[in-house]
Amino acid sequence: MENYVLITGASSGIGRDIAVTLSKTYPLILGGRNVERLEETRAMCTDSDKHIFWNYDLADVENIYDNLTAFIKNNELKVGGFVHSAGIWFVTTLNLVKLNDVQKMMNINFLSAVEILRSLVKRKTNAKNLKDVILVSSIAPFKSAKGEAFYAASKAAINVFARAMADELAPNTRVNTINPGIIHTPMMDNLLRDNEQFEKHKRTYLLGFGETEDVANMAEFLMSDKARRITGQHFVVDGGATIAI
Amino acid sequence: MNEKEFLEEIEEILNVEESVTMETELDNLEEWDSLVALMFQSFVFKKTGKAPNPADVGQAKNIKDLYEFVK
Ligand SMILES: NC(=O)c1ccc[n+]([C@@H]2O[C@H](COP(=O)([O-])OP(=O)(O)OC[C@H]3O[C@@H](n4cnc5c(N)ncnc54)[C@H](OP(=O)(O)O)[C@@H]3O)[C@@H](O)[C@H]2O)c1
Repeated sequence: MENYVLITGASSGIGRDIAVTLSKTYPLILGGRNVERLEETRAMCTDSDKHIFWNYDLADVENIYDNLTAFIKNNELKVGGFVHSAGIWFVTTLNLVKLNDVQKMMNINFLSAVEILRSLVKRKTNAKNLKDVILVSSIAPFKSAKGEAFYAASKAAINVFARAMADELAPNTRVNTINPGIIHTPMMDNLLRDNEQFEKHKRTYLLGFGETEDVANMAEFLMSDKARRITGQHFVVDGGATIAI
Repeated sequence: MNEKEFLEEIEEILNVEESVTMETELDNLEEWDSLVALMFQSFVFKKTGKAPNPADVGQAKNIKDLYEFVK
């Protein structure tokens, strides 16, 4: 049997579309808190009965390692790929920021990926099976925006971590990030409902806002053997937003 | 929320040096910009459970108009 790809955030938006796309090629471990929404994703996938759930709240970052390790051992899984798409986003000024909220965002966006990866590279758990890691980051670290400092910091942490891991885990495992600009998903719906913000952003999106499949296509390429010489890189999928003035 | 409590909250959100009153004009407040307006919207959401329409918040002329959203 082919090795599994674990996808966090598989219950919605970008992670869901990555799951649907990768299900054509790999059996999947769909990660998320909400089983109903995971079921919806599974129903959209090719060969839906091949895919299984890892139902876990990543905010509980301290127990990720033990929980995932037990999950892999108990189900005798071989995990060949990891896509981290779980993430939260909020806007705040420095004046009003709550440390608790930032810590939660850091946990879900960044530290959960650390703990998952730590479990997946443990030889006693997953031998040398892990070949490909894709961390969904953002263009936020490349393009500053008022109110996004803390989100950008969590994504900058992901970028730097990916580069360091590409080095540390070579030649067995490749590690890359995908850095999307604004993509139509539930996460962005609120922002796009605000006309002023919408117009401001729209001007810099030379090719318009993205769709989840634009990110899924990049993930499909990076997960494949066609990307076998690529590691430690950031792949910007933003319709030109970072280069526009 | 009474007026006094609201003024304390709004001063916190605006991060102003001088106190504001219900009559303070938003056009005269350099602190009132689109990001702070967004912070105000999420404050209203937290207090009332309803997200105000951003365009309506944009119509507000003074602090009293903002108070109307949470009254
Ligand atoms: N949309 C954009 O414009 C955009 C742009 C750049 C980067 N991104 C990044 O892309 C990724 C996916 O975003 P999206 O737009 O697809 O968002 P989304 O539709 O809101 O989906 C977020 C996903 O994260 C999961 N998640 C959130 N908190 C979790 C927790 N505590 N434990 C486990 N899972 C949790 C959610 O699962 P539950 O079912 O458990 O809630 C959901 O599957 C994020 O990392 C985001 O930062 C998005």
